[in-house]
Amino acid sequence: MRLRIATGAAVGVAAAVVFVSAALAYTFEGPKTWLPNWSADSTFAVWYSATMGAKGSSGYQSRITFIDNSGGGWHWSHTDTLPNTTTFNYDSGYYKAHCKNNDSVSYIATCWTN
Amino acid sequence: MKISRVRLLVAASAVALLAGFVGVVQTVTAQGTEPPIAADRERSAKDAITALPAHVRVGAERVGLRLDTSRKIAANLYLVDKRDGQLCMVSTASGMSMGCGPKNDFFGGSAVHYGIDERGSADAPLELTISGVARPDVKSVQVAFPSGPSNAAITTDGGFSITATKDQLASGRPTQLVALGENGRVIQAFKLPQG
Repeated sequence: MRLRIATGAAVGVAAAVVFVSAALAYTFEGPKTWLPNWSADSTFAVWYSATMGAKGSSGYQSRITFIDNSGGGWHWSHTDTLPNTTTFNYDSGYYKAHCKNNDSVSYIATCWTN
Repeated sequence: MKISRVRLLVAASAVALLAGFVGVVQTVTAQGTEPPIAADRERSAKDAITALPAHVRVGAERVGLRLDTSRKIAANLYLVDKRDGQLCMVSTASGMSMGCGPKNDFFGGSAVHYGIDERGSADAPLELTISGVARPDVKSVQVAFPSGPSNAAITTDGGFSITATKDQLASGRPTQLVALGENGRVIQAFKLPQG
């Protein structure tokens, strides 16, 4: 009986963690097909991170950047070729996240912030 | 009797060829699907990602990044596990950023995975670092800048990192990354984004 209660509690906690993690993410574009050089912006906020992901396979170049709302300066711009590309807001500033298909081919992806 | 021997020889040759072919296919598949060589090696104190702002640590936790599993593979470059089973190539060259993919098919058919970290606008970056993870058959990488090539050897942990000099950046963005094997043999070339 104790074991059942403990197992039930563990499952409940795990489900809650998954639910909270999912609830913390805010999708601002996609899933959709991104043509070369297509980009999208989130709203301005103090985000923790931004991701262009769910690409399904590797080899597609994506760029993620944080842009400030005063001078439009770019911060921590990162491009890579893995299925999920993420940049962190390193100084907890008030930025919009900018994601871009930085490849010469189209691919399906989603952009979200945390 | 002679014909039988010939047939036997032909059959044996065919079997040997087939075995060789299967071996080649298995080798290629293994190169494409195995995790990076440092992904599961023993950790030491030098593998820790230090001095991260609290905001970044919270952000890492929120995306399921297990910072306690970090393994340093090149300057400002780490391999880090995620809770969902992905393996991430984490760069601290400019802030902190990462690319993540399935651990057991990390390379996905590529010889290397690279990341480009920049500060400043895409047209005129003030700083630029290219770093990445390579398959065991890759011995070095070459990055082509308009002013000339820049080479980096692969570390014993399978990583590499090249930070552009001011003169290189003044000449323009890098255009290509080439993965080189033994004796400088070209394994794979990648066209780099220009914006």
